Parts: sequence; C-alpha cells; structure tokens
Amino acid sequence: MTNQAYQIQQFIELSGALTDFNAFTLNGTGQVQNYYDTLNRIVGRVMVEELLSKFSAIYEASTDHEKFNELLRKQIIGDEKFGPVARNIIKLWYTGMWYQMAQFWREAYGMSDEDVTFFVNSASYAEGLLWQAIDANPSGAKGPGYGSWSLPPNINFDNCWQFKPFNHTS
Amino acid sequence: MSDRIINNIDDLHDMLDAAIQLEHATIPPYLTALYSIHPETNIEATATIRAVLVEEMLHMTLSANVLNAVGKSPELTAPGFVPEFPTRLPDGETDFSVSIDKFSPETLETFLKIERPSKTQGDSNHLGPKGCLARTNLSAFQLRAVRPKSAPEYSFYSIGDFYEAIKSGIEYLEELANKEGETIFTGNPSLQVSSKYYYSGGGHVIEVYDKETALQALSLIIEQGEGHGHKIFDSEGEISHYYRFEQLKHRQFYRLGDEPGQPSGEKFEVDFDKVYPIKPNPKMADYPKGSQVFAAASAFNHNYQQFLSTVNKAFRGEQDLLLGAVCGMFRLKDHASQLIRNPIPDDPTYHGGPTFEMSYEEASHISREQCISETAK
Repeated sequence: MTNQAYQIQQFIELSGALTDFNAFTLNGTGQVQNYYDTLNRIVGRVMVEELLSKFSAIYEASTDHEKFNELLRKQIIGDEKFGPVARNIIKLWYTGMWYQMAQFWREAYGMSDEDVTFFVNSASYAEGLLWQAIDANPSGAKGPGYGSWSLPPNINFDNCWQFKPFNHTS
Repeated sequence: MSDRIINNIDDLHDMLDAAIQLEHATIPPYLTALYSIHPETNIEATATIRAVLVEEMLHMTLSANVLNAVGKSPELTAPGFVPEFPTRLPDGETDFSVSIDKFSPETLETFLKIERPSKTQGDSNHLGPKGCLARTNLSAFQLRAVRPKSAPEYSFYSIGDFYEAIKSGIEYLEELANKEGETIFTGNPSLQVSSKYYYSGGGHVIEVYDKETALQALSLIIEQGEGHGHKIFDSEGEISHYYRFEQLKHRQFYRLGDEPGQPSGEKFEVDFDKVYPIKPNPKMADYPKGSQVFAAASAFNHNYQQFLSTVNKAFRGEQDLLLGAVCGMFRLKDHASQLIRNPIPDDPTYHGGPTFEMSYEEASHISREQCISETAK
C-alpha cells in the first residue's frame, strides 16, 4: 500500500469515528478523495499527517470503544489545534461544505488563502451525510420522485462506524 | 416455408414478450456503466447513457402497451425474465453478448452493437424472412427466443429489424382479422399506461388501442434506437441511440447535416480512467459473506426484484403504482452507486457492482411484503 493509500484509509477511519458512518457509506458518497485533498490543501499536509498519527495512536491505545471515545474526545476533539479541524471534517461530511476555520485558529496555525467557506464540488451538497441521517432529499439536487414527500423517512441504522482492534484490516 | 415471422396471434404475443425482455435486458448494462462514472466527470458520456437508459424504460412501457392491446399481460416476474449476465439479447444477434461492466471502450463498442442500424437490404445475405438469419446456435440463447411455429428459429441483425418484423406481423394479422369483421386489438383499454402515470421519461408514452397507435408506438422505439432510414437525427431533431454512442467514440457532437461517422460539432473529453473498476459481470459469490458489499448487493437485488414486481402490477391494471415505483427507482440508483464506489474487501482491485441475480424461490414471499426495508441486513 502506498503512503497516500494508507493515509486515505486512515482518513476514512477517522471520518467514520467522527461522523458515525461506516467506510461503506463514506466511500459510497464518492467524495473521499475530494475531501482528503481539500483538507490537505487548506490545513496543510503536515497537519493532516499529525492528526492521522494522533488518531492511529489513540486507536492503538484503546482496548474498547468506550476507551477509544474517551481518548478521541480528550486528545482530538478537545485539543486546541486538532479540535477545530476535526469539527470541520464532521461539517464537511455532513454538508459537503468546507467552513472557514475560526480566526483564533487561523492566527495560530496558518491562514491559507483557500480557507474560505465553499462547497467542495457540485455533487458534495447532494452527497452530504445529513440527508442520509434524516432520510430526506437534498432540495433541488436529487430527484425524489413525485409524491415521495408523503412517505415516512426510512432511516438506515445499520451503517454506523464500529470500533475494531487496530490490527484488524477493515 | 412461410416467409413471415409472425403467422398467428401466439407468434405475436411471443415476439412482444421477447420485446419487453429485450428492452429490459439492456437496462442493467446501461445502468451499471452509467453509475460507474466518477461523479462530476465525463459529463457528456453520463448524459448520453442516461438519455438512452431512460428511453429504454419508455420502450419497455410502449412494448407492454402493445402487448396489452393485443390481449396478453406482460410477465416481468417470470423466472428467467432478468437474464444471467453476460447474455445474448432475445432478438438473437449472434455476434455479441451484453455484460454488466464499467464504462470502457469495450463497453461502448457493445452499446454501439446493441443500437446498430439495420443493414441496408443490399448487404444482408438473409436466408429467411426479411431482416433475419436462420439461427443454429440456439443453445447460446437462454432468453425467450423468437420461435415462429412454422419456421426455424431466427435471429435478427438489429433491434430495428426485430421491431419491423413485429410491425409486419401486426399489419398481416389485423388485415386477416378485419376480413372476418374482427380485430386483434382485443385487449382491455383500461390496462394502457398513459402519460398520467409515465412522465419525464424519454418521451411521450403512446396508448395503444388499434393498428395505427400500435405502429406509432413501435416506430417510436425504432426511431429512438437506431434512427430511421440511417439518418442521424429524426424529424424532431432528436439524435438516435446509435449516433449518440458514436459521438462518444469520436468525442465530438454531430450537427444537422453531418454524414454518419463524420461529426463536425463541438469536441469534448471522454476519460475512461475516471471510472470505478467494477468487476465484470459480478455475482454474489464474488463478495465475501458478511461484508458490507455483500449486504448491499443482496439488498439491491431484493429491491430490484420488488421494483420489477411493482412495475409488473402497474402493467396489469394498477398503473397508480408507477408513481411510487419512481421513488423506488431513485433508491435503487443510490444503492447501486454506493455499491459501485466501494472496493470488494478481498479483491480491492475491483469494485462492487449490482449483480441482478433474482431469487425466484423467494418470489412468493417477496410479493407478500408491502414494504421492503431499504437497509442492508
């Protein structure tokens, strides 16, 4: 596996842990590479590598999902540097949109010219996980079929991310 | 030996059954190739395959209207209706088979063969009725073969030739019936699918009540598919399937007045690398049991079978169901796309793809279920 392929696999796992959607669902949006590239472009390759190594370390150090969640909260979500990035990754997946980083973060960790609020591409809006989370159609972007609005949502709860021992290939 | 393919109403029913099966058999290959294209890429190829796919659905509906008009119901849920891929097409072309595969130069060649125009009379070296060749390799055809009672099995060179034979059959049988003061259009008119139920799907659906409307419906299929009289554009300026696919091969649009093979319109890009590497003609056995890919492929097949069953009912008098089936179609699209964007766990050089394997043992169980869960089990 090339270094980039490994990094992308780690990015998918991190994204799964942050969004609670499994790799199948994330791959299914067709956006993995686009989001990975977006993240690298804006916060920088070094920061992405640091974040993914931190994630791997947490994964390896965890014996179960509960421990993993605790470490994820303390060392990534609650971290001054990684927290805002992790929250942006969540927003990216749920809305298909990159949100400009907070000013304090920009001042501390770099102000990329590309760090503005934007849709990653024209498909990313329709592929936002929020639509799957509530089983609704992105307005104006996916044909739901006439009258589909009269049907109750049919939310798929079988696509959650799962913690597995680190050495298990997923 | 009669030089007619269709000699009686049973022959006509057989041919129209084969027509519906034929239109449907093109849908899995077109659908899979379409969804194999990376999002945001190959805009022209995506639009082309999508336009053709949607018109095949119209053709299936038109064929069903003709069959209903001459007094027989379509059978979309019969075992074997969905072919096992790769498959020969039921009108019997002998020189190619059709696969479930990604969008590629080879796939494009197959699509061109599916939609190819009829040979001009001069080229055809036919030994049987117009537009056909006597067929010897019948065992290669698992689908409903064309079997006129009084003649050997025939294969057609093009789908247009096949429909021309149906048109001749209708004219012949209706003329015979009229002589007796009767008609072959004995079907219940309330079974016709009208534009009230079939909307924005590749053209206007034609309700069939008599010879005139039947011939209109069948001519529309021929025109949209291979074009009329080897023309690139029809009278309404719509380009036929064959020439749509040729544009992808030449990477250039046709303009009015162009000669076949020499488009002079705007050029565009086709990038065969921006495609998910679907395993050709995938089967459930190719996917590790317990994997997400297996579960999703299994759920897709289940939902597809349910979808066909709904359409079947719609063709048998419950036209209202078509409106709901449209929602089901969008779900199928989402599920197929998800599957295609995921690598096969034990064989990551390939991605998953819908297998279109139907399970007829469970058919009675499925038809009882009101609502199929969309979730992968």
